[in-house]
Amino acid sequence: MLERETVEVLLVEDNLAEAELALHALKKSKVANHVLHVRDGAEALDYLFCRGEFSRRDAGVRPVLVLLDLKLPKVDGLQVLKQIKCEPRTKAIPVILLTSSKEESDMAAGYQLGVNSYIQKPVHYGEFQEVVRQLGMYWLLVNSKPPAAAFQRI
Amino acid sequence: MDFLRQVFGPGGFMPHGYCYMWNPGLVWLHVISDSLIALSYFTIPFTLLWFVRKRRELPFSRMFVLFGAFIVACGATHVMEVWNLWHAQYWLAGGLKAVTALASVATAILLVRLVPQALELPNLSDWAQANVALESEIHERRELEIDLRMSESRFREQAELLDLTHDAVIVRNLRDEITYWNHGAEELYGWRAEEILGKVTHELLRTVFPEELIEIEVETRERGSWEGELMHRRRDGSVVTVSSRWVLRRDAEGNPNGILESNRDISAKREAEESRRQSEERNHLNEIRFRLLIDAVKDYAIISLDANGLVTSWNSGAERMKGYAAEEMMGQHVSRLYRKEDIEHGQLDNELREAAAAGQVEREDWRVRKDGSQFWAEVATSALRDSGGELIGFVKIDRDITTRTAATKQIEALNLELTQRVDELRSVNRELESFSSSVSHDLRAPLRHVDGFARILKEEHSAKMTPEAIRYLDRILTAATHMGQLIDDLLNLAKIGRLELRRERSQIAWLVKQAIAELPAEAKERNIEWWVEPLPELNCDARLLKLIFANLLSNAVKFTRKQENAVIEVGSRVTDGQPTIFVRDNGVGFDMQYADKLFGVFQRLHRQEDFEGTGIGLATVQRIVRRHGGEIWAESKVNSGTTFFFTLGPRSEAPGKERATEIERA
Repeated sequence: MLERETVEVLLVEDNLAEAELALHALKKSKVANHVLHVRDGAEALDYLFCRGEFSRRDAGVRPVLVLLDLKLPKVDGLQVLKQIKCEPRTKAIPVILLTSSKEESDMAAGYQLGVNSYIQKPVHYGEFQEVVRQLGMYWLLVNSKPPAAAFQRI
Repeated sequence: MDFLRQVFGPGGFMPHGYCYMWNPGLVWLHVISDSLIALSYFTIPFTLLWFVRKRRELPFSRMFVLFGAFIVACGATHVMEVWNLWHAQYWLAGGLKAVTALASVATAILLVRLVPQALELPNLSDWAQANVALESEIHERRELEIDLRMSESRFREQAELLDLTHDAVIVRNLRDEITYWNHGAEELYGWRAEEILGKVTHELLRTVFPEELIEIEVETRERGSWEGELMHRRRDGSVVTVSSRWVLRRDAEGNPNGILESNRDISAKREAEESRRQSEERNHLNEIRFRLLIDAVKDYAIISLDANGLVTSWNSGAERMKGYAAEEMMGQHVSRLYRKEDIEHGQLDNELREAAAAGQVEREDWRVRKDGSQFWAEVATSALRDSGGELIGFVKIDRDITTRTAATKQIEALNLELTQRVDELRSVNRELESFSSSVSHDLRAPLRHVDGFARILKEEHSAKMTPEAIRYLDRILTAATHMGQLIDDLLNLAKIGRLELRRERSQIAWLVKQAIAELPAEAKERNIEWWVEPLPELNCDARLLKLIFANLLSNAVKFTRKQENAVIEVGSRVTDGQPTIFVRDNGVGFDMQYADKLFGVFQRLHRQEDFEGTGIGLATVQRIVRRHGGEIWAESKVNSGTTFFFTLGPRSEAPGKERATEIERA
């Protein structure tokens, strides 16, 4: 596990092939060196809130970006999103729903829960690679990261 | 002369006194007697002459003349006797006697012949008798005259009296000729008496008899009178109905000599009677109709009560509902239809009192049938009042609502079921949505993996692969792309079915422009001639209309690919009052025998390697058109292009070839 390491991107994806393609694209885009891949919503929440197997990790380490799939075992993407956005400790972390769903209802629910970006994965891998490169560039380089104060209880 | 001398001369004879020897007594006896006889004789004819002259009508006047002459002659002979006492003119005396003889014989003969006639002459007693008879007759006549005068005045009085009456009084003789016509008749018929006296009554009045005239006449003669109604025509042509009375008139001997007819105008009465009869008939009919109506009402018990609550009418609905026949309930008190406990609580009394006070009360209540069973009824009780406002009874209308209550329950149950169904449908819809969502997510994901890894292989590992392997990789990539398209199109199609139609006035031309602008790059790269006519403003869902044009126009672009001078045309026509939009190309076209497959899902008329596609586009277009209530059809010919027509509302006729060509020509 990488609990002591810096985590730039938290990739929440149950599908290994999907995860591998995403990791491949991130690696090729050369914007993120530290990507943590978790396999379901529960594991993602455990990591974010330092629970379960992540209970001993450094709570001060936060991912710069969460790439969240919608369909996840145990706790689905929208549930994960909701918990992140309801919790002051995690609320400021940018969450991107990276999904193959074009359903309006999913999109609407995502935005209502406060998602920072909603990206439909293009069918063609080439396009997907380009999208990943752009979003990595934007969120990791262009965008100013939330300061520590953004994660404190008001 | 000698003869005369001889006759009137003494002729040598001695005077007759010589025969008497001039005895003076004898001479004077003769002289006086003869003179007296002669004198008497001479007076008789003069008397007779006077008599005859006075009584010219006397029969046998010739007899009187002859007799007069005979008497005069006789007298003359006696004068001659006296003359010849002293004069001896015996020839003259003889001549005189001859004349007298002639007159005597003639008179005798005439007298003999006259005797039978004279015997016929009444004798004196006869005359006396005749006189008596005559006198009595004269007396009678006088009396008669008085009578007549009296009767005349009576008659005048009667006539005046008859003029007083309003009835028309007509007297007619046996030939039906009018002999009297009173003032009433003048008034009634319009003719004055002097105008029509002598006219035949029935012809004048054009009488309509209730029976044969001959029968009426027979009856009048036999009974002396007749009564009946007649119809007469007045002078002005109008018809009058009269009550007529005929009385036979008889003369003194009792022989019929006429008819006295008295007519009274009863038209108004008849009309009044007729209108009363009609109104009665109407009332009767209304009553029958009303009864039929009331009886036809099976679901309502309609009962009327008198003011004391006794049943006065009971319809078939009541029989059906309550189980009592009308005969059983007539005159019975209505309380037997109520539950005992309700009666004890004064429910009926309250009901009637409230109805009497308010005019009508409505309530729901328990009722009891003949068999003792109870039912829940909706009841309306109305008070009946006469024109004076006096309460005369009640009308009650009951309805058994046990079934209605049951029906209400059933409706409620159905409603509940419906709500459940709606909920189910909602959940099915949700499932469908999540299905679509999962299709778009779960089906696309592996596809992306296929595409992604194939691409990584091709881009990063192709150096280690044979050209054949690379070709297979390309096949995998193409298949993945096609499947992605299929999934997108299918999801679109499903979405259109679920989408709420949002109609608004939309500028079709603007939508077409947008659709053209969003066409795939191919459309801009190729040399396509666009003809877009002015297009109408339509009431439609603009998002979906744009989708129609996106599909039809991209089809047109696709199927004109092999055309050097591609022309794509968009226009509109109004047919049957419905705007019809068309999209025409001069592309490859299709065989019309497959036209029915055109709009089917996954139906394609071209090979994939010729023209790519999913076979879902036109199905989507048709779905959009139908959701707008319109129709879509196509007209095509191989290598001559295709025209799609669509409307957004129903046309009066089914789409057909003729219509299509008609529009094409236009």
